[in-house]
Amino acid sequence: MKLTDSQIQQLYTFTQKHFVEYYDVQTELVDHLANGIENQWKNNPKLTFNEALEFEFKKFGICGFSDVIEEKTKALNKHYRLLVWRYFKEFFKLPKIIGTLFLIWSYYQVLIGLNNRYWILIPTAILVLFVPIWAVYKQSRRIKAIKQQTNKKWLFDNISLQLGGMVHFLNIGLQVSFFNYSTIWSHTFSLVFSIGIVLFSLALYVAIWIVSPKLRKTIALQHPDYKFA
Amino acid sequence: MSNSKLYKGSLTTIILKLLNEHDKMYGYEITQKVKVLTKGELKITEGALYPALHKLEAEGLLDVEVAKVDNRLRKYYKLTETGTKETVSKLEELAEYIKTMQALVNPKLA
Repeated sequence: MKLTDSQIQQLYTFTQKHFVEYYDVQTELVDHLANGIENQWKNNPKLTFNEALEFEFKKFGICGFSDVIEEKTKALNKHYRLLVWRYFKEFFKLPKIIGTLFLIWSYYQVLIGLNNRYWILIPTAILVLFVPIWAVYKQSRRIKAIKQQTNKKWLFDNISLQLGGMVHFLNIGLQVSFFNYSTIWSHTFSLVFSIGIVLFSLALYVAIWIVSPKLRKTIALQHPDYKFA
Repeated sequence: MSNSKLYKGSLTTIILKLLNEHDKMYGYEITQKVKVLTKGELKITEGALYPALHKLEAEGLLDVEVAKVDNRLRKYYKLTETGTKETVSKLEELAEYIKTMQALVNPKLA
């Protein structure tokens, strides 16, 4: 005996009621529960849908689906950060390392060459703070649009939005904005600052413009229901 | 995961080994396969299986494919190239562990 379309829909509602809000996670759990219920019906066809569902759900333990969601989120965050690290390392290999060193050197030269550091530090603060915030805001609007159009939320998208947990590092941009610019900076400090800013900007660039789009492409290939908005 | 804590550390190896023998498998299928192969001795719980699968996927050892089967979507897992290499290494590790344990608990057989 197979589950009907309406029963499959009931399983989606069931996972939602048990705090699974992401469609990609729900889909796997729904198939698992459905297989379990159908298997029970093979041995006991008199069992009602709800009785069989309750029995299958108990197999997930007292925490229900929460362990699955928690671990999946952790795993995806780790995956995201590993991808960022992989592409970030590319900037320290030939030929990209030439560009990276050139950026650091140029920034350093401008920093020590200008009489008033504000001319470089204010655009820097805008770059490392407002550009990522704007990109994250754009992403969140895209996710909302998908939710409105399809009534689906994807864990995947949420991980991208949080930049795999790296979103908290945007705080560094805020620190740059409030930096004490009036003190005299040594050449060593200026160099360290230049290296820090370039590396931080590169990490954000990799996360927002390389890894997040790549992840969306991957899920679009894997999942027939995922659509770009 | 199972009726014995001794199996816990081997869940990853079990999953990799099964996927090495099959082109692709889905979560429920893995639990049933293990049950059949071990004649019910080992039962992989759902709460342990999915976190393990998601971790392996995140580490790049498994690839995923979602396909429509009957009236629902099914997520299949299959080994990546790295996953295949890791399976060999994990199985060697397990064989070594069994050998060591054998030497400890039953020196005559070792």
